[in-house]
Amino acid sequence: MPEFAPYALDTRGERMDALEQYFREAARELREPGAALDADPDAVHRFLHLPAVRLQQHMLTPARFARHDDVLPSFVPAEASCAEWILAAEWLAYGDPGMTLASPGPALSTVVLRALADEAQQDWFFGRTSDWPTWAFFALTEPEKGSAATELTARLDADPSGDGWVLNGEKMYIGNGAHARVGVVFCRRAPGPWGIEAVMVDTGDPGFHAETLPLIGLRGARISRLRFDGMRIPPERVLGRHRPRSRRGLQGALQAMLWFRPSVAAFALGVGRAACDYVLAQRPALAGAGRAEVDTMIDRLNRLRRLLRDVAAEIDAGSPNTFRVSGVKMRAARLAEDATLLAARLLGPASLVEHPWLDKVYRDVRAFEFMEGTGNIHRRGVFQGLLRDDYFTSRDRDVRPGRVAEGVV
Amino acid sequence: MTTAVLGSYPSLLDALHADVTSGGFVASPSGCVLASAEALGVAGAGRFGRFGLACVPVSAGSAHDDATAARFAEGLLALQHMVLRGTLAHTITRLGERVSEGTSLLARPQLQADLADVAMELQEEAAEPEEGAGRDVRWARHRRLTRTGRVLLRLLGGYSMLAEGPGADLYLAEVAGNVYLQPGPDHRAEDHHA
Repeated sequence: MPEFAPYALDTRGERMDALEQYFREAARELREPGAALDADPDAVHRFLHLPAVRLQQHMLTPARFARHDDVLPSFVPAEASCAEWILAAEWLAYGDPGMTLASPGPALSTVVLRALADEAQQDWFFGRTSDWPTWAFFALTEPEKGSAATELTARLDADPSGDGWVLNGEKMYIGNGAHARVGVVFCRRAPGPWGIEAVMVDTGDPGFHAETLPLIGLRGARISRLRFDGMRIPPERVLGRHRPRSRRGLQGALQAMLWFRPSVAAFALGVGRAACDYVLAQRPALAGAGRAEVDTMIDRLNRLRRLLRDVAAEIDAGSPNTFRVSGVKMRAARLAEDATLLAARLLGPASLVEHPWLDKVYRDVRAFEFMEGTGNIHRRGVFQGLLRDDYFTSRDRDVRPGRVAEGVV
Repeated sequence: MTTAVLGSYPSLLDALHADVTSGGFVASPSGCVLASAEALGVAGAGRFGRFGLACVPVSAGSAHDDATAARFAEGLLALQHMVLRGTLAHTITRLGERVSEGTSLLARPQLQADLADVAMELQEEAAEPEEGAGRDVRWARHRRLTRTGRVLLRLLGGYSMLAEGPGADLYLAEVAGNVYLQPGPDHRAEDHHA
């Protein structure tokens, strides 16, 4: 009978064990807040004292801006690696994915800032997101366009006054957009891929409009629609303006998506694991075909967890394989859906009525499909990897009877 | 069969209750009634309230004989089918309006294949009335329709999560199936409950 595989990185095993233990404990406190957010997404303010709600801000903030106020133990890293962050993301989502996404902090924008911003820009942005509680957004996706970075239409035009820029356009499905103080907006200054810019905005400036969208699930994320109506952008808010055009806006978007894609997979695996645990807790005597289905789900989880760990390590080593990242994200999102469907079935008639937590995650997990790119986009990515003979690893090519790999026979 | 209007699942469910019971409600095997919050007189209450639905314990006037339950179950499957037909049409329209890399999304073979799979599943589901089928068969049909709906929701991306879009109706159809169509433990020989 499969057990959940431990998650200890070879390179820093001891500390990762301590981190995982801490995340597991902290995430336990998120179940009740998660239910409250499902009823009222603005209820996040009632739970800002929880250590688990502090994790995102601390771990995604560069070390020089991190504030050590004893809410978190000293071994929880600021400026986390991808491997550290996916570990946190998995356990936080195990607690509650909505509460995780509702937590204050720089969110995806941190990677863009770390990749493109000069010191003054980092001071401007992280100086604000370090204030507690402050939310930030990452605005790439547009209505009718999705998240195709090269096709975005939000415009950045020269300010007629001759100083700086003017931002016009709309963004869609932006987490915490209507509640953020600052954000990063991707927009088009000129045609072509090198005409894309990333700019920092202050939501208190004239021309910023936002509304929270009513969602079926994952309501804590307060997904929003944003409109920029002649919003003035000072020249110093264009990220990477000291860099060549080929290494500015588009590169920031791609780096952010690549770095965060594994964390969406981690969210999905966390909820999938939670669904399996929930079934076993509710039905401790589950046996036969039903038990076999749960065991199979756990086995799939462990395998994807291993793959997720591998792609995160590749990202941290500076040699990411985008094709494998796509594959893990797509499969993890599907697994989360499968796990909640399975749980609803195994817990019997009216399980979605009788188990409010299950009904909530049943709705929540569908968002993982399109966060950081839809499954079909990632399938195309995997196919590109196959064409280039760059999808399978040496381990994949060496599957034969008698080979024993970690946890896999 | 006509297609459903977005957001109309609660009223369609009420109509099905009324049609099967001559104006009353059908009780689920697990002892509850799922209908619009308005019809049940509990407007806005409970977890399903924001979707216009409510689930209440069975009352004395609710029908729960086998013949009524079977007719209601077939009606639920027809209703789920109707919602899926509407969502399929809606998905084709939306994807047709989206342009990527200079061409309509509908030009992508993967999307064409997904939409064709949905259409074929719906046609197969509608081909032969299954009035003599038992609960296990109806439950299997519901699960197939649920999987079919999930394909459409994936194609719709973020839009599928909007409470005012087709995702809400498909979710409610899944909940209704979970309440009324799922066989209980006495029908599930492979599971052994505590």
